[in-house]
Amino acid sequence: MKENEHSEGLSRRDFFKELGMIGGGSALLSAFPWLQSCSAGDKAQMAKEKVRIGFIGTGSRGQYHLNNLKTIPCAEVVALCDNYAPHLEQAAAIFPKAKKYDDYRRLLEDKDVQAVMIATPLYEHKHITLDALQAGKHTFCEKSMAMTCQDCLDMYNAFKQSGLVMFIGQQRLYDPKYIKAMEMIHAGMLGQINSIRAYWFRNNDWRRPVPSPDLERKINWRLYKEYSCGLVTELATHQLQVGNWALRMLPEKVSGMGDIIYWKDGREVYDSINLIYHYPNGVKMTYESMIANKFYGLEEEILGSKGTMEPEKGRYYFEEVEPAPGILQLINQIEHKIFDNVSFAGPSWVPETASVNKAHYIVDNMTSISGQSSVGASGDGSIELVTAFCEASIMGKPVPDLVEEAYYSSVLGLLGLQAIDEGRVVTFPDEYKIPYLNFA
Amino acid sequence: MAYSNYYAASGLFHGSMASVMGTQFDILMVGTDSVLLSRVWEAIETEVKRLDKLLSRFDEVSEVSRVNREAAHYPVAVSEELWQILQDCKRYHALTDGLFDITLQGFSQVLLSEKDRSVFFFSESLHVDLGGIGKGYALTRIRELLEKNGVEKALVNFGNSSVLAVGSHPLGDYWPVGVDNPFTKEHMADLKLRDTSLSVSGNMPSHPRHIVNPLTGKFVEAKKMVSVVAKDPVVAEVLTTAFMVADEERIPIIASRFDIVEKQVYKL
Repeated sequence: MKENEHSEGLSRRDFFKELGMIGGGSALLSAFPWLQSCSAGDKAQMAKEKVRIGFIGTGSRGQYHLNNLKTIPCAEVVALCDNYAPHLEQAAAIFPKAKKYDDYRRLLEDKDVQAVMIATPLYEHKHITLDALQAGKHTFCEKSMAMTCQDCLDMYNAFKQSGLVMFIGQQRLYDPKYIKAMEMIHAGMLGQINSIRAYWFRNNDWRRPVPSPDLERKINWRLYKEYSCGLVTELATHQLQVGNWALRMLPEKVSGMGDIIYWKDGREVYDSINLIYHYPNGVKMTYESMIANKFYGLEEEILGSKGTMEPEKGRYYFEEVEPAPGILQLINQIEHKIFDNVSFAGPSWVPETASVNKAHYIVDNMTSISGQSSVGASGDGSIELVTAFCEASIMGKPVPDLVEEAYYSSVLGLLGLQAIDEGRVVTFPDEYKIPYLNFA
Repeated sequence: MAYSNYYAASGLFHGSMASVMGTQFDILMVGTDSVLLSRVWEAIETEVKRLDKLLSRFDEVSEVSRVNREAAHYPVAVSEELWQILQDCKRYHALTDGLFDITLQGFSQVLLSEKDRSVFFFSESLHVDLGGIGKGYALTRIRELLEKNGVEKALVNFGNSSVLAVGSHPLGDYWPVGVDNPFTKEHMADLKLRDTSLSVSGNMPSHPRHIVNPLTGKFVEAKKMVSVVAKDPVVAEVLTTAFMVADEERIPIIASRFDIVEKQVYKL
């Protein structure tokens, strides 16, 4: 199930090493507060304990997480749930000792379960999450949060009231190359950010094989409006979050168009969408997703007055001149209040003048994904995200800002869809603003 | 092409030029007045480009190019500034027992006439190359600009081989600079620079033999690297070149004639 591209994912130790390279602990945590459960503090307790997880929704994405969970020392999967027996059996092959349920409510009654992870189709996210929090379980729910803004808000409010740990599956928040890219952007290395062009292209019908026709809507739920909002919830939300993260701002309006132009196979969700998000400072984030050509893959192109970031590919470029090796490292250290030796001196070095627009790599040990898999790729931050959830669950400490980031990316996707469906510019409704960034 | 950026949170100004004096130029200046720092940067940018025009033998219209073209035919009067630089080169040639030589074949064949401040070459094959002193001279000028404008902490880097440290790193008592082995990337030295200049010279994988012994006309073949830290950037520059070609016994003799902070010879 795992898509293993380009290189192996960073090990957990490498993850901290990479991050340690760019910044001191406290500076890093104040800029990326959801990384708190990575801090050295409570490590002893985490080393002793395992969180007992009940896993709901064991389809392709669920099995991707289950395979990852096998490698996470502080996780123990004690229960599995799916109402589609073949998927439940596949999951049981990964965790043979786990109890099996076909009704999530029975799993939530299981006192042995401390935390649940939800990887069901989108339409089931809200009520399962609310029930899980109600049952006192720490909850990880896949993105997007839900199918309506109100449902997303209900989930957010339930989380805030519960005092429990809640995570939404926005794995880029834990991807070292994103964290470092955002540090560079926020430090001003790329100058003022003036535009973001995000896109995700695939060339496939997004269908799964269906054993019998009566299972079409259950297996291919992504294609039907009753269960899915299509590209905005399945793909765009990941990338809209990146735009907000880079700008540290939320857009105030959106317009867009969407159509079914190629896969006219009875599906109800668009196979082609184009959206424009407008931020209060005039910056636009354009978003395009289309699934009948894969040449450009996926990217969030972050365009600054002094440089360009391509975080999916882990690369950045300077508009004019690239600083000498060592100087950037020194700047980074000073930005993080670090006084350390930088080795750059040596015999005269002649830059390749033809390489002015040469790509620089955000992190040394780089993993990038082609975006063609609809399951998940290795090394994209997913393991780090789930590990952080397990650690936070053991400590019983919610992490700051993560749900807020996810909430806004989910709601912005849904507002984009509303703009398409209603053929108008949709202004961010006041009733769906939660206190975060410029909406605080 | 130039780039500059001010990091307000840490009060750090970074300026960079992609291709000047045959290499890349970077400067970090510490200060809270970003307007002043960008003015200083503009002045430095202008000055370094001016010196490149004056000193480069690869630039056909530079003053040095004119000297190289014409001085074998008749005495060429030069500007006050180039005159002073050539006088220095003559002095350093003597102080290094001929090992620092901007002609690479015999500085004794250069006639510098005080009367009309002219240069004459006794040999048609002669030319001067100020590559071994130009960056040091530019660093001296940059230091003056920084002093004049009250910039108390700065690090200036010419292509990693010529570094000027003004004051200290904003968070420490000096600017820490490491030197790596260019062949193995192995860490070789940590140098503490404070109001000093570092020069590094050596053979490297891309250029295993590029330094000529002016006394023998032969390339230095040894896998060797030299670093010199001195108050005067020109002295640091001159001595690394001389120490690359000097034999072991001569290095301390030459060094004793100069005011230097430290010198190191590395076997690579």
